Order: sequence, then structure tokens, then C-alpha cells
Amino acid sequence: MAGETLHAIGQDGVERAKAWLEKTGRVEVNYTVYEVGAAPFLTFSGMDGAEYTFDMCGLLNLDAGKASFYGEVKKYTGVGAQAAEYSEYLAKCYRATCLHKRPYHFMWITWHPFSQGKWGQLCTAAEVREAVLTHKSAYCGDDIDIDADLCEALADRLWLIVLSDRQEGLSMSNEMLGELRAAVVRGVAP
Amino acid sequence: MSEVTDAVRHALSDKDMTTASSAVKQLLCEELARADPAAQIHKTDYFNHTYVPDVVLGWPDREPREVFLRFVSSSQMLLDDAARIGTSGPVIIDLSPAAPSDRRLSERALASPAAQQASEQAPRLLFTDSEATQHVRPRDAHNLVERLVVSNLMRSARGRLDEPAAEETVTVSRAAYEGAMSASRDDVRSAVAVAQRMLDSDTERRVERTLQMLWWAGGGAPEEFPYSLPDDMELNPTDTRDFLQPVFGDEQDIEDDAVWSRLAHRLSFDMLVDVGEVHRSENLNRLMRHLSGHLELSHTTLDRHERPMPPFDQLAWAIEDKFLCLRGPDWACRFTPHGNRFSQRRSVGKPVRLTEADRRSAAYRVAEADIDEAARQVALSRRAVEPSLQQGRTLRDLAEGFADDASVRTITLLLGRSHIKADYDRMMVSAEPDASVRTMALVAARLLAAVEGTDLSELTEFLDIESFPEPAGNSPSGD
Repeated sequence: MAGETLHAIGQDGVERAKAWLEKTGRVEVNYTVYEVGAAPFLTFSGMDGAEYTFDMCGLLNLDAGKASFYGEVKKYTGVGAQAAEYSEYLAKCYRATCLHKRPYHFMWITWHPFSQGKWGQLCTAAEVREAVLTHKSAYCGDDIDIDADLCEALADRLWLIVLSDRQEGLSMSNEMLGELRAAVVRGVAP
Repeated sequence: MSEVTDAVRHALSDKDMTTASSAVKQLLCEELARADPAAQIHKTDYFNHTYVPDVVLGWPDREPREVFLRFVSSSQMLLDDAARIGTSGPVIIDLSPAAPSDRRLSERALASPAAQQASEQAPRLLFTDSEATQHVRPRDAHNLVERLVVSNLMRSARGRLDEPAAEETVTVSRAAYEGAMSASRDDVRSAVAVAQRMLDSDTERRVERTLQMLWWAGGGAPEEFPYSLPDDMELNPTDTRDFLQPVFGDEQDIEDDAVWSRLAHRLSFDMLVDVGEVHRSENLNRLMRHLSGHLELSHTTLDRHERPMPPFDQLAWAIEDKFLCLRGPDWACRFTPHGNRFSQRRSVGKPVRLTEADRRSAAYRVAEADIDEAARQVALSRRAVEPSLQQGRTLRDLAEGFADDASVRTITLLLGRSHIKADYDRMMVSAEPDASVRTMALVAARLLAAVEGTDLSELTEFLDIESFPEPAGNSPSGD
């Protein structure tokens, strides 16, 4: 598939994921990589100085309070190389958390499940540890002493979401959201 | 790159997302305040949310308008926004000119067929960007037409307002003022076309009416005005009010006396006071120099202020609480054709001594006076007019037989066709039938004791007359 087409599919996926997340009322996707390019807060650097970028970032409005999150979106119609990409993504998450020393949440949003054989382990500390070890040269350094507590904490903040085209339709309509928006407007500009 | 685009670009270089969002939002709120200084700007708790606005703009006399900040990255985003949030008619401000990825993306997206399609889907939606908004500066407007158009863009514009469109809007509306005053059909047509394309129908109509008023005030033949609609011929009081509000806001210094003279012949008292509160306006003063001579009313009152009012330290016309007012350094006359508005007025003055009233009214014929004789404390009324001749006598003649220490409560003068009654007790002047504002102002200033100290020469100069009016056929000699 041509690069331009892949770019368009990727962008479509990010925009749809943003809209779906924000329809829940629990998420604000403040920036996406397609909107602002390589904005500093979407971008981190690996061990060799090479930069990597998440697809989106924003705020989660959880019962426990607000929290920052980063998201990676895969608008795939098949499994693709997600198993390998997910492993590298976990290493990037570990790296980002180490760099900023903040309890970021991380979301992997895909339109196709992967690694079904170990689906239940994808958000565990062991999976994080294995991913960091696999990609330590690029993201953590060969002599890394992996922080077990950090792996546990990070695993607790991992989100794995599978979307589908039909699921996107099973949410509040634009009209209903318009009513809610009107309530917000009345709240700030009575 | 506009200043706000550059500032947003700088804010986006912050490594902290929350700090960047907060800074960007603040920059846009400041930009919105420059684009519409009259708007109340309310921030929400959200930033770049698909469904919740970043900012809500409010005005006293309009529904609030939502503002969504966006980094437009594809024309599809415009279509999505039109479908999701378009029905409420919000403003979408694209910040992508500040994004490091592709500054021209916004320009391309706003010019795309998808943007046109989005405008058709959501006709009240306004798409603009941080490059276009730098041209939306009502405070920098060169004239009242430009200010009227530009100050309404955030309130009522729809469709696409990219930088070229914003520049065209400013240029065309700026030229329309001179164009209307000099009866240039092309300039007026261009401005009406921009208003029709960019603004909602109410505001567009207001722009056209303003141009029509200027055309007429500038001396253009009314039938030659390039009306955009066949039923657009009649100007009504609302049009006049909408025109006068910015004029009395001194948004434009109009020094051409002929303009004011034409306007003065068009305006009634109700049209004038319908404009709302006007506390200081050079243009109102200019208009009143012409209007005070022939605007006829029935009542005026005069009040003194204990302390001079700093904003009104010179003679000036004003409109307050539906009264036409003439203000001096420490006094104010209020004029109205509705005498019942003073029905509750108590005695704020006092009778004047007969000798003083006689001195003040020496130049006039008197039709009637209420006189107290000090010894008897009884109010006596004397009428002096012979109905067949409509002539009176001087107060001295009328008060013949009264003691010098008597005092006068009211005195009714004959001025032209009007009987003008000065009531010293209530500090009020009333005319039957109505008399000109200029005449009533001078009677109030000259006859009422409370205006002692008023410099009449200054007043007569301000009222644009050489001396106190002495209507023909009313000289005290009766000649």
C-alpha cells in the first residue's frame, strides 16, 4: 500500500479514536500527531537520540482524578505486525515514564486484536519487563537495571482497547451530545 | 506569520502538555478580545475537544457563541466538525498555521471543496484561522462601516474567513463609508456583497441600512441607492437607531455640517432617545446644533448638582433614561414631550421676588402669572391675554398693585405661537403648543433662579444662536 494511503488510514484512525474516546466524556485528546506534527509533548528520545512520537496525548478524567495519557492507534484490518509493535511500544512507555518521572497512562487502540494466545498477559508487569529487555538497546541502555516496581505501576496504567467500525456507532448521537454541550455552555456563560 | 500564530507556535514548544494547552488557550482568548472587544469571553475546562468548546463568547443582546480551537490537518476534519458540532453555529479557529508540520495545511483545507461542502452542511458555522483573525480589529477601524462589519465577524460571520477573505472584508467595508457618502454605487455594492456573503441576515441588513443612511446623509438621491432587495426601500426607526448608536458612540467624527442638517430634518424625539444612553458625544452635539432649532417638545426641567460632574464639565447634550438632556457644569435640563413623566416631581425650587422676575422677563409679554403677596400668603393668578389679539403685557404691568416684596411662582410667556410657562417651584418649563428645544433651554436657563451663575453667552454660543429669541410681534411695546 502506498505511503500516502497508509498515512491517510493512520490519520483516519487517530481522528476516529479521538472522537470515540471523547464521546465517553472521560477523555480529552488535546493533541494528535497529525494535528501538530512533532510537538515536544508527543515526542520522546531513545538512547541513541532518535526521536519517537505517540499518536495522541491528553487527559483522562478518572474517578480517582485527572491523569495524563499517551495513545497509539492502529487502524488495521488484520493482525499485521502488532505483536512486535506492541512490544516496542511497551519499551517506549517505560522510557517515557523514566524520562518524565510522571505516572502517565498509555493506551493501545486497535481495530484488530493480536497475540490472542497471550491476550490476558499483554498488560502485565512481566510483559513490560520482557519488552524492555527486548528493546533495551534502543530505549533503556544495555546495562539497564529494570525497575520492577515501575513495571508493576506501568502495567496498572496500560489500556488495551479494541474498536470496531460498528462499535463507533453505538454511542451517543451528535444531537444528544449537542444537548450536553449546551449544558456546558450554560454553565460557563449563563 | 501573525503575532498570535507565532505566539501559539512558541507556546507549543513547551514540553509540558498542560502548560502548552493553557498558554495556547489564553493567547486565543486575548486574540478574541482584540477581535471583539465587546464580547465576554468564558473559558471552559476543555482544550481541543471534539464536542465541547474551548471558549464561549457572550454578548448582552445575543445568544452566546461557541469557539472550538482546532489544528486542522485534513479537509475531512472540517466535514466531521460540520456534522458533529455545526448545528449550533460555532466559530472554529484553526491553529495549524502554528503547527511545525505544515503551515500551509490550513490554507489548503479552508480553500478545499470539502470546506465549501462543510459550509453548506452547517450554514451558520464560521471557519477561520489564526492568520485571518489578525485582521479582525474593530478598534483599528477607520470608519463606522468598517467597525460595524468587523466588530460583527465573531458574532455573526459564517462560512470561510481565511486571511484573504478577512483582508477583503476590511478593505471593502473601509471603502464603503466614503463610497456611500459620495454616492458611489460600486463601493456600496461591494460592501453589501461582502456582508451578504459573510454575515447573518440581520447584521447584513444593518450594514445595508447604515450605508443607505450614509448615502442619504451624504446627499445622494435615495432612489439611486443600489438596493439589494426590492423591498429594501423603507428605513424604519429601528434602522435609524441602529445607525445612530455607533454615530453617537463617536466611532466616526462627522464634521460635515450638511450631513447633520439632513439628519436633523429626519429625526423625531422618539428616534433620538431610542438610541439608548449617550453620555458624551461630539456627534450628538453636532446634530443638536441643527436639531435643537426645530425639534419641538412640551416639557423641560432643570436641576442643579451639588458638585460639578467631572465628565460633564462643559456644555454637552446627552440622552439619559429616554430624556434628551442638556448638561452644564453643575446643572442639567431634561427634555421630553411627555409631561406626565414629571407628574411626581416635587418642589425643588422656590418662588422668585417679583422685582427679579420682572427683570428677567422684561423683554417678553406675559400671558399669566401666579403671584404670592408676602403679607397674605395667597397665590393670586392674573391673566393678561386678550383672546382675540393673543397679546399680553409685561409682568410689571400685570402685577400692578402687588407689593414689591411679592413673589412669583409661575409665569407664562408668549413666545411665537407658544405659551411657555416657567414654574419656579418645580423648576420646570412647559410649552403649549410645543416649542423648540432651543427656546425651552434658553427660557429655563434665563428665567429659573436656580441657574444663577450660568454663563448665558456660553449657552447661546453652544446653542448656535446669537441671542435670546425675541419672536417678531411679541415685543413688550406691542408694536
